[in-house]
Amino acid sequence: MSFRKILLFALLLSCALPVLRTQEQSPPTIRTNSSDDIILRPIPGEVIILAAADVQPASAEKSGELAEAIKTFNQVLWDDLSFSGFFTMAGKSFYPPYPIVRAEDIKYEDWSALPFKVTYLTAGTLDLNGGVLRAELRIFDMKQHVMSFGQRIGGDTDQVRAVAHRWADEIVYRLTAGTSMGIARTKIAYSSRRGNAKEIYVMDYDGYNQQAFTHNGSNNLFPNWGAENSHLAFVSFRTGKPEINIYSYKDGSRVAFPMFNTFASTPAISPDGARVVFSLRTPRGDADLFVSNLDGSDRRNITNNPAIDTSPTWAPSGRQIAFASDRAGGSSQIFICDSDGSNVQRIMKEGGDADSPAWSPDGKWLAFHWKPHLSTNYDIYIAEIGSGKIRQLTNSGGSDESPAWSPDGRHIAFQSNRNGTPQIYIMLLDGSQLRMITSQGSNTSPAWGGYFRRESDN
Amino acid sequence: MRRTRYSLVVIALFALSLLITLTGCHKKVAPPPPAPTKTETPAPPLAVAPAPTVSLTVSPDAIEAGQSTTLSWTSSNATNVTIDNGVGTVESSGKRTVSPSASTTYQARATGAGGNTVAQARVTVTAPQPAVIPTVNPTVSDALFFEQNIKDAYFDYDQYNIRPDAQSALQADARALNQRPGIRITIEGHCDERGSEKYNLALGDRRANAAKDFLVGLGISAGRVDTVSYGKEKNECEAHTEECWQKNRRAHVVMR
Repeated sequence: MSFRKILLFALLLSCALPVLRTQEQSPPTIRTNSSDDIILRPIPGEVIILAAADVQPASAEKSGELAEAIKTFNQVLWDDLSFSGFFTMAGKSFYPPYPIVRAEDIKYEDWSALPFKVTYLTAGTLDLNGGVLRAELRIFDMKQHVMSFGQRIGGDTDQVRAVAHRWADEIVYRLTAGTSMGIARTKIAYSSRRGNAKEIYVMDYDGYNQQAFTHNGSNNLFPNWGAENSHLAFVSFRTGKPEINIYSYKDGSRVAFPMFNTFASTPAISPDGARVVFSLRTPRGDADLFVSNLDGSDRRNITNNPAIDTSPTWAPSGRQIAFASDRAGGSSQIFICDSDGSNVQRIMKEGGDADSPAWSPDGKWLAFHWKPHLSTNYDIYIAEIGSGKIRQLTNSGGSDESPAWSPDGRHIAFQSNRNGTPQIYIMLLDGSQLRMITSQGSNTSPAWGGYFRRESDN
Repeated sequence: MRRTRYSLVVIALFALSLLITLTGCHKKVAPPPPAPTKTETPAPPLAVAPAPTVSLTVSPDAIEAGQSTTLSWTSSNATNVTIDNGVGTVESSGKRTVSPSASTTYQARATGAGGNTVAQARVTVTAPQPAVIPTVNPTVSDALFFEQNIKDAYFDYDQYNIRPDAQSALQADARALNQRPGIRITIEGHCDERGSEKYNLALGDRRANAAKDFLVGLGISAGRVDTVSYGKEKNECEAHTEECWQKNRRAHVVMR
């Protein structure tokens, strides 16, 4: 191996290192233990070096017609695979300089000659027939020199991104042995101020296809997804007061939920989709947490404390709830309790001001925003349930707030005003692959939807 | 913080009551009368009788007409003590409550074998402050009246207790609302930008409610007062300064 090749290999490895690194940034006042015993982003045992060869037009005469779609597909696939955090993406400039249209076009000896060993290669073709887009996609095992798996995906001509996302999810699911089902087709709901109103919007996880879900011209805040993306619950001022609104995400119909005409806020639908926990003013004048059925029946006050209780989030088991409360005196702190309100515990002894807890999909972590001292800026932290170990995930100089977990628990979406107006950002838990995915208006309170059902499993 | 403040008030009240109790006891436990002497020994003739002394104080020394104040005096070597301005002959030392209608200089005169001595004390009496009653101009519309008379209540950071300046504002609001029984209001709870959106929405509700409860406590019908929280969604002021934050931490009263 020449010196140049060693250098290239070292460069490539340095790209892989962020996958293994965990966040070490913490203000000195906060006790964090060494990173060794906490695996923030489980990865498969071996480092997968993935090559993503550009997809090709199925036939040369359609190359002009397909040029735009192919460019989009290649970019989306690359971004999805990079953002998944599972792979070391092999730079395209290293690839043998000829297109791969069929399996026979792969010359394994050329790939073996690269300064690093590609583990898998994705390649394929796009075709357009009668307004229907067809993709033929393959993954090749570059050690065994065989095709591992493939997929034919069809869609409308405006669904190039969706087709690429689906292939990315398939690759992630297969190559990680189901560690993640792939988040490329997930959605993020959020509150978007454009003009005087704040409407609930839903977009692809990468910030594309932003669509208004509400159109009521008032303030709509704090969206929350129901189980399997069945519902969207949020707070709306459309009747003048903050009220809980629950809509079917499938057909847009409103679920009949009581209007209280006082103060109701921060709804969170239980993991089984049957119950909702929310903050509601009591006759005493303070906000407590109530749990009810999705239609508001069987409503129970579970906190019954004269302090402010708000911002609840369910544990994935449905047996516990985390929330924010000022009951300890001074500012808002994070507490957990059983879903009937018993066994209230504060999750960390440090003071400051914390809100917006979000329970990780594996149940082990709470993400929240926190400022240990009085300042205008929050940062995103995670605390391990039980041990109370704390990790700081952001430190931008702006205010980073309202974290939301991706369904595979490896990513965080949050809002930040680090570049001026609040916008939605996504990143891997270790802070890498940071992307600002909104820019129009001001955008807050991201809620990351669940996995989309895998059609190939049906 | 809240608890500390309450504790201080409690301690202060306790200390005050203790003081009052002790002072009261002190008054009750008068020095025992001198034991009667069994044999009357004639006082030795005095070559030179000592001159009497007298001192007079008035507390408070400034009152409004209709209020009262207390004269206190002590004397020695006096056989007779008188105070003018209608008080008359008094014991050698003591206190007397007086209620002059105009500023008065009181003079105490002590007379004894050794001569006369006088002492003076002046109490200033001012006219009572007229109660602040906004003049009701029946031609002023409710909207204009509201604008001229209704004040917002402001809060400390992350607090919803009604501090003294907010009490004054809400007392003025209650007086104004009593003059215009037809006016119905909504109290909007607002917070500064520093807290997070979710918590602030609940905090704003708490502030609006605290202001409403205060007005209801002053006799305003609860049915006239609605509340709504906007958290930090509709802030008055956008700058990142304490001055601006204070403007935003308020219960904003609007007419329905």
